Amino acid sequence: MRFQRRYWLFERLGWAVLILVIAAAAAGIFAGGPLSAAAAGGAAVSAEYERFARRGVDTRLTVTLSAHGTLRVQGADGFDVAAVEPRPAAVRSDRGGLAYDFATGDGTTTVTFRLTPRRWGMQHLRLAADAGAPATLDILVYP
Amino acid sequence: MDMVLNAAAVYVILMVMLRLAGRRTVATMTAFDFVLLLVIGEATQQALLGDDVSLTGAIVVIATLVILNVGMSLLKQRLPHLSCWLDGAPLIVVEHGRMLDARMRQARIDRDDVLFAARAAHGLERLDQIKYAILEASGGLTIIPVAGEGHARAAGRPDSPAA
Repeated sequence: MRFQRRYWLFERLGWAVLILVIAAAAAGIFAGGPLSAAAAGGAAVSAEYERFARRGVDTRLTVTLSAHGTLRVQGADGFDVAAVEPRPAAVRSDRGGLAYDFATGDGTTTVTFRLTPRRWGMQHLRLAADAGAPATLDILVYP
Repeated sequence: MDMVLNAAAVYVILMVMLRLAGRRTVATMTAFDFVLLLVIGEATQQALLGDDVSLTGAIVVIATLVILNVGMSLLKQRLPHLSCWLDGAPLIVVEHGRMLDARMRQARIDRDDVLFAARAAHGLERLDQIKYAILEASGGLTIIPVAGEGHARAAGRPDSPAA
């Protein structure tokens, strides 16, 4: 009976842990919720993204460039670029990363990336415009 | 967020659907029922995870389903009415060798099902050897023989013969 009581206690503790996991998931700890929404950057380049992502599940990244239509992206090795909207006029290799050239309209350029995480762990993305401070995004990718 | 809501929705939908299918369907398991169950599982899988291949996603979905199931069982314990609605209640279908036709028709059981269960569990041959035949909530038929008739099978589960 002592064993059974301990077992029941263990079972209840397990339920509590599972409820915590579900609550965390609902809040967005595992991507797709309020806790996951994040923003970074300054005047030159700013980004809205998700702090958390899951391996193989697309995550959205919206970048706003204040002026010139060139965006340099570094540290994106852990992601596949599933889509870029609008389509860049050109994509070049640039200092170990990629540079996207966009045809600019009224001055600011807003670009949406759909990224598929391929590697789990902490990923550091660096976004830079031609001038101004770059934006650094820290994205935790769950397995 | 989506994962938890998806899993909860699937849980509720499946619960209702399998209830509508009736306890017979769950218990009899003909080859077709078995295939049907597999196909239902396949369709459910799509709704649960979609193209989410991550381990984290799977863990969250499983945790949600398990907790919902535990919560449901706790709720049923407190509300017997809910338990009746979700699991059904045992139903007497044969009383002192007399078939209760209306009930059996509604429950989609026939004389052969009862005789099969009686043979399998107790080696009974005729209806009048049966004191009670009860359709259990789990979908099995329990046979209680008239005193002195048949033989109880030592190793058999009480509801093992499928209805």
